[in-house]
Amino acid sequence: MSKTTGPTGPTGPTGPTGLNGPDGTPSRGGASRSLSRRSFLKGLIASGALATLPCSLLMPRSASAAPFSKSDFQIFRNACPRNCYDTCSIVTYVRDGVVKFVEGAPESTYTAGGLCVKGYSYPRRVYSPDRIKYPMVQDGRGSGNWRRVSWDEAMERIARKLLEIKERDGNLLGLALTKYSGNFGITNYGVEGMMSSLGYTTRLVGTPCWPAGIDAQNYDLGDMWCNDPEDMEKSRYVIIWGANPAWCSVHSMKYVYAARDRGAKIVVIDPVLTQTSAKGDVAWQPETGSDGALALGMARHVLDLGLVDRDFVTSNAVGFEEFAAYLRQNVTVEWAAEKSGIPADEIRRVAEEFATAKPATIWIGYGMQRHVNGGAAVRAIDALVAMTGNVGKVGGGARYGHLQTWGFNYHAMIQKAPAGSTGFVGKAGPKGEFDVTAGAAAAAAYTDRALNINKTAQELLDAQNPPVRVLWSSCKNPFAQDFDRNKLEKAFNKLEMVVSVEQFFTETVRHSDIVLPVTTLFEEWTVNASYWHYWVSLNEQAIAPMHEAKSNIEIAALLSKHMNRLSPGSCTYPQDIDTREWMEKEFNKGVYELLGISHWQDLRKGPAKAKMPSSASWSDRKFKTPSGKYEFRSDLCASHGHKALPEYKEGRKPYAPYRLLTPHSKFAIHSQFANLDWMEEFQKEPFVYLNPALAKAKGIADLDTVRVFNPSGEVKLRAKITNTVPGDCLLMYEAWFRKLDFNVQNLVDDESADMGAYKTGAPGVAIHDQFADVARA
Amino acid sequence: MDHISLTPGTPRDACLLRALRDLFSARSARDIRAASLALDACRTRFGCSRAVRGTPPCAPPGADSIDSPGHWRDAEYAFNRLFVGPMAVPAPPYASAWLEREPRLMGESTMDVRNLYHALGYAVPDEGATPDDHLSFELDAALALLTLREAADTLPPSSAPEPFPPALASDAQEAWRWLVAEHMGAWVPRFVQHALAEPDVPPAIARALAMLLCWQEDAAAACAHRHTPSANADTPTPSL
Ligand code: SF4
Repeated sequence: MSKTTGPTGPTGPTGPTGLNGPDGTPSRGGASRSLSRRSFLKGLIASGALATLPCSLLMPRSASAAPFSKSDFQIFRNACPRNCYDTCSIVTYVRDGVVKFVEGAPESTYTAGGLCVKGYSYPRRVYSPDRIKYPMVQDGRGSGNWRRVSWDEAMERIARKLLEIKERDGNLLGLALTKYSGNFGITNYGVEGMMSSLGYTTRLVGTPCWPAGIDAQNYDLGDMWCNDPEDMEKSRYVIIWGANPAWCSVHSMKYVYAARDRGAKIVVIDPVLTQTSAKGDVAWQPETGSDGALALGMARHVLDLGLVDRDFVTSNAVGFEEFAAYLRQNVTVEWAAEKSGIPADEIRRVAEEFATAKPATIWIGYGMQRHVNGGAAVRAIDALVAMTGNVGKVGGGARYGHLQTWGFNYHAMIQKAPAGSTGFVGKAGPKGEFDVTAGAAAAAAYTDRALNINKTAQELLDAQNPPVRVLWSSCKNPFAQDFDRNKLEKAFNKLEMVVSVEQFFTETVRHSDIVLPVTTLFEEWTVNASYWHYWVSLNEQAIAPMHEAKSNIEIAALLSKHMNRLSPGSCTYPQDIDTREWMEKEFNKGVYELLGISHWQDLRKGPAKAKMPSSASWSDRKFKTPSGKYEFRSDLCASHGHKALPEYKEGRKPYAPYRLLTPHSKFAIHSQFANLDWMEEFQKEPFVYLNPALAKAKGIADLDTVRVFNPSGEVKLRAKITNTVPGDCLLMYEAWFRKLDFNVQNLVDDESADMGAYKTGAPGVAIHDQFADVARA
Repeated sequence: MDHISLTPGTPRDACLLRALRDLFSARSARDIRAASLALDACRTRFGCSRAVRGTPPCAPPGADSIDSPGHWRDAEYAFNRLFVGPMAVPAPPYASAWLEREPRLMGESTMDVRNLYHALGYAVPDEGATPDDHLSFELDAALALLTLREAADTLPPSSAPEPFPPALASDAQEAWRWLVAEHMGAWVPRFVQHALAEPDVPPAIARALAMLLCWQEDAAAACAHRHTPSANADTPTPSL
């Protein structure tokens, strides 16, 4: 039977007004609105003779069946747990036990009462008809043949499999976890805890997003620690370098505007002319990956003009003279101009303005370090900020990120291996930037086995003794986020069981054997901190978990129950947990003191901001480097196989005619949000954006369907022609479309960035050092 | 108040509603098989209401003839693809997905049926977590109202013993009319049409969808008939 409904079918476009049912026809919802005023309801209630009705699904109602007040709104505190700079504090309005709408918390001066377009769509997510509602088992991975199972049945199946592989291999290294930033609520580290509670397992470690920059800042400053973004308004000169906050950190823009209102100049550096560029006073579009050269050229000019902060570089830093010598011998402004494509005069002008404005700051975006020379480039920018005396200054700083407000107990995460567990013998590094267990692990006889998350496909293919047999995926969508999709498909074919914990039917779920429905932010208790601003928000459970969804820690508890039932002592995870109690257990005296609160309950009144000695990081100029000073020369960096000085490092050699950029869209965070109907209104399909000159050369007209291809794979999509993209670039936003088979990871290989292994366990990925060709399809 | 004699439609409706309710709340191949067989039994016992009236039958006659485990397993897969998930389903079996300004669950139309259940003294299990307007709950409520209507109808108003209030019969009839004609009428036909338009709908599910639509249309027509003041009392009530 074929579909006969034509373009109004559920997979067809809905009208622009959105006033449509799933079938695209105008809804008749108004017809039933007056039910509550119908007199027959009163009559039925009054009858009192209803006890004998033949209902078998409906249950006699007791007063306690409705847990929420029916009259007014109840108001809850929530936090946006996505991998977003802004980590918004949310106020949630609930009526009849249903989230009616959300808004930004007014108490946080950062969130300031507003969310972004994605945040406002949260009710569409919780109540999406598309949500995964029940635990389900797929008979034949990829077959689309799914059966509904009870939670107990699902967990027993998994538990039996884990016991079987433990028996077979003598350890649980055949079980691997892949998890990253899908939900940053602190209790969700209970997923790592679940793994530890089972024994020593395999972990995909590292982080795809920002590790090169993290290491760079650790070499230079001893930690990644940015100023409070709210003090950016005190800057006299702001360079936004490789970030697009007008899309990806909308709440920060008000500080940029405030700085400009007070006379600051705003310079935006991005190979693409972004919304942020459009709002700047100066927009530079350098060659992609030339950032290090540009920063060093500016540094050379500052040096030539004698605008170096002598006091800082002599009293608070080491290695400046060596750096200066390097600049004199190896760097000229003309060289930087040639590398970057930015005219030498402009480089000189901006360098001079930057060095003379006090304070001046650079926002180092994550985009500019997703390169084979990304860590080196961040070090060069750090050096530029440091030599002009802007480190440790209010309104200054080399801003990258911070983890100052993340000092929770990680109660959910820290679990003991069952007695007698064996595992991997060998060196143990950190399992990501949030790994608080790194020190303890180093001392143990056995450890988990670490595989590089940024080479997930290859690592899963290569792992031996034992191979990875079972993969558990949570807070992550490997098929949308891990690199080289075609290779990943091969890697998944090797796995004996894939369990994914999800809210929507992603490509990863399609490649799973078992899917478990997980709660949204409104359905669990947790607490959230930001890696950018300094506010901490409580996340209250606002509604009952819809359908049969469970939180990650409840899933862990249930797995533990089944493990212990089948094999007593095989899992140390508590079997009965309460998500609110577990949220409480994350707090400690340090967190209370930092936030200036006496109890977590205080956060019910609104988010709290860390009480820092200054809005500037490093205000006391005590750096956490081995020397205790800012290190222009880092011997630690050299000992890790890099240059001691922030020297220029060449970029990746092109392997196809055009550079391929796959940055973030405004309407999605990785593969989240893009599948919601409100976002689809704005972004129905992916496009590849290309420059008119390139389009002309290739005979491509606006909206033509084209093929973008490289050795990793290809995608087919329509083209949009725009001057905002440089002539040698192809740009497509990463996203997951529920109705389309589109995946940028078809084209992105797993080439490593230069840094990241030191602090996150694995180097980053050169996401923007990718190349491809394009042709009309 | 009109006096309505009990028509043979009531047991037919009850039989159908029970089987349809069980089918749409199925969790497994076994549930689907049992509900499908029950639906076939209703048909065998009462005939097709359309065929009885001389109009084309709502579904092809004859039960699902294949009765192997694999057959019902395939029906389960198809059932989940259409109504359950985990993939986005083409025909979400929730009123709210069709009646709200934008498709969603737990909308105002969900609260409408929740209020009705409450008035009947009922609620869905795990209220707040379970959308009240899942088709199977609405069919369950229809079954309840059918029984209530029947009970009220069989008692002459004057002889209604306590605790039956005098208006129960008309309240029950009005609630029934609202639920099956107004509320379900606004979404069930679209739901059925969309599900049937999907490729590879197994016969057992296609039949159930067709019978659901027949039932809903006939029940709504019967309500309209009762509401028409000029209706001749001698005209037989359309068979349900
Ligand atoms: S996605 Fe970012 S900006 Fe939007 S609501 Fe969440 S934290 Fe705020």
